[in-house]
Amino acid sequence: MRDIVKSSVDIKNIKYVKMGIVWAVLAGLMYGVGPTFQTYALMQEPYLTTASLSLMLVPMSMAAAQDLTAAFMVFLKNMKAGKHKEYLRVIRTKPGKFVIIASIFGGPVALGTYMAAVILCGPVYAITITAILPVVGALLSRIFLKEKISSRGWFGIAMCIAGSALISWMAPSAEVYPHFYLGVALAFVTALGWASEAVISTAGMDFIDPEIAIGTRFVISGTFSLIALPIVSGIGLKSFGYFVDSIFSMSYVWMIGAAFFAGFSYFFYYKACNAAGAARSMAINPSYTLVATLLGVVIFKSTLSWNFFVGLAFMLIGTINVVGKPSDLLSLRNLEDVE
Amino acid sequence: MKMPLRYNIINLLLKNLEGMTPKALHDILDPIYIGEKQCSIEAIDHHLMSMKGVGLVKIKDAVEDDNGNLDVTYVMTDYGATRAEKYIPEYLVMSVQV
Repeated sequence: MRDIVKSSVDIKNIKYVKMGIVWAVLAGLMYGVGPTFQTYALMQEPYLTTASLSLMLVPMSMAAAQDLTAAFMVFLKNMKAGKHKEYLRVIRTKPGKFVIIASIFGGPVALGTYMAAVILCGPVYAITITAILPVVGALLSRIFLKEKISSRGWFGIAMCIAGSALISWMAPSAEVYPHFYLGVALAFVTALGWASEAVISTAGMDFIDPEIAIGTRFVISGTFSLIALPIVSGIGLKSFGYFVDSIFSMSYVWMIGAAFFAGFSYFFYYKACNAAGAARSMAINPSYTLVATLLGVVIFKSTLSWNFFVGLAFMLIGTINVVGKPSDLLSLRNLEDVE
Repeated sequence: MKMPLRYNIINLLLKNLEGMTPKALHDILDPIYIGEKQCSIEAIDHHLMSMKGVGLVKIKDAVEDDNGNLDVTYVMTDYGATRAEKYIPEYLVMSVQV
């Protein structure tokens, strides 16, 4: 290969991995917008009234509504790209089963335990504990995907976690959480669930188009959340009635917004995991805490304190170190380890 | 039912050990996925770059045409072949179209 051609090939490949980093950042930023829409949805009927019926009825209804709506939106996007027939083609294959297992980890397991943790130990501890996701993810990626992680990368991951925790940290309120330690334990399960989702789906995406993988993921996780609704809510089949009521209410209009941001956040996240590696994408993902905090200031008039600015600096330094040199990303895995 | 597009790309690369360009792959796959927008040269190139990042394929050669467009030839790696045999063995058949 002539040098000039080799240089053009390198430029093309580096452009692709840089896009992977852009997708990871975009995924994190978009994910931070969703909670604002969820908060507005919670202020509407029927969520306002039904919240008192059961601890898990509203969170599980919201999870099912959000994931199924996102599934529909991603399906439309894939249909426009002429990829919709791939759903049925991949789902019956072994890599397709990887995506199904990843969906169960990311949907009912991680999202379910996260919502329970928020209720049992409060949002501050739940968010802060689940911010360890990049470390769990990096360990699993190193073991199962043989992804290369330099010492600089590990330093960046630690900085991202510290930054995310600092940004979202607030002094615990005087509220009493009788099942506090159960909530903390569930928050750890959440981190493990989300990390497992990214690693298992990335393994499947060696063979499956990431855009089809995420479309399948939302169909499976939304369906499982809906099926689990009568059991987890503890009120049986009546929960379906409340779910249908919520779909024909103003609260669902807000949930469509939440589904849009969550849906396309995951759309970019899956593409990033495939193009830039699962460990890096997970490390960049907690930037959602930054957007969520800023929106809290703009919309809900919350105030910023010193920890926001220190956390932001930590996160920026961490992200720069996690990303490293784009040329290092041309080969994501240590193939000597597996050959 | 047809196999997923990427499985067919892998299948063709395993059968053509000397390597294939996105255009050569497209010429064979286009009549199979007839009418599917996903089967374009650009989309096939994207699949190949994605598989290159995770080590399933590697670049064997590249040339630049008169318009300055790159024509890259990709080959399957040993790692890619091993993984394909492990995870999608039933799709690695002689007939590309299955």
